[in-house]
Amino acid sequence: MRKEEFLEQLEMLLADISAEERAEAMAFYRSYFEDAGMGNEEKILAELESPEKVAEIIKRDLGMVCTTEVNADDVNSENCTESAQGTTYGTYADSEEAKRENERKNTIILVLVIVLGVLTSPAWLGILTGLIGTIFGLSVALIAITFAMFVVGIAFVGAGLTMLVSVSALAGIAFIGAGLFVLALAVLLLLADIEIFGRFLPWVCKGIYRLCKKPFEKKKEA
Amino acid sequence: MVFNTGATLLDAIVLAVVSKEEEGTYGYKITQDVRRAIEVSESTLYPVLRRLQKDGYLIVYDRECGGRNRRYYQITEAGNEKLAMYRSEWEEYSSNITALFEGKA
Repeated sequence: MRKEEFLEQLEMLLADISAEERAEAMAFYRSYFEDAGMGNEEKILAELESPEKVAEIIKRDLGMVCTTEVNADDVNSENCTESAQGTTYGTYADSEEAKRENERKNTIILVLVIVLGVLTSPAWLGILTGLIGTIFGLSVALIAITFAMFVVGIAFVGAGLTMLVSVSALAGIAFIGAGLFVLALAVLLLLADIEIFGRFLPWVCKGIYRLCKKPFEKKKEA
Repeated sequence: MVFNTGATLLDAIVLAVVSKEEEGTYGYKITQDVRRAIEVSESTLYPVLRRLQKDGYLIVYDRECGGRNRRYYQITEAGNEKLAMYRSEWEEYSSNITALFEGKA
């Protein structure tokens, strides 16, 4: 591996730390190679072992490797700092730095989720509007049917009353009976409508609202 | 070398190395100087320098050298105070251990 190749790979491996930290580290190692001179390039490359190892040491010092253990519990955090100090000279996690690094990471994830959401919006917007449209259509149909049944019932009763005097008493009673039966069904349907619009629909709407809100709540916790 | 160099001692050694140069010194030279005293891999020095810089014990500046910028580290007032503290602590620590080894304690 050549010097340029090493630096290039190191920069790539440091992509997840802050731009400032990355620039500092890159400036150090670039200057390091240049100060060592061409003759020492091979020797330094051998001693640094690999860009992966150098990147890991840099990140560990920024608290990116030990972070979870440090926050988890005391026993683990002690192990973490101990091993860090014992085996690899001075890599105790700067918790303040780690926290900032974590916040930065979370912001990046949030931005990614939003971008992903916008990009996939044709899909989920379609599903959502379809769902709302279906509910709206069914609601309108239900109201129309209820209204129609009331009209039919009243019409039958009205027709029966006229028939009672003009055509025949039997036909009139039959029509009035049918009309009252339809009206009874209409009243039952109306009660069902009230139940549906008063309770079920608000519940569904709340459900959809909660579903939409969920990803945002999660991110706040993270 | 059978003894481990802890983080604090490494900080002290690096501060001592940098403080020797009034005008400041650069990463490669610091590494070579530190390695004359203790065994330490090249990749461990950068985080130490960076941390000392963030804590305000070292300042970094670029100086033109042979057509390119060389990154210099220079000790600050706070760094000198810290080093003086480390020195006196080391004095006590090492003399206690030496006394113990020689059967005087």
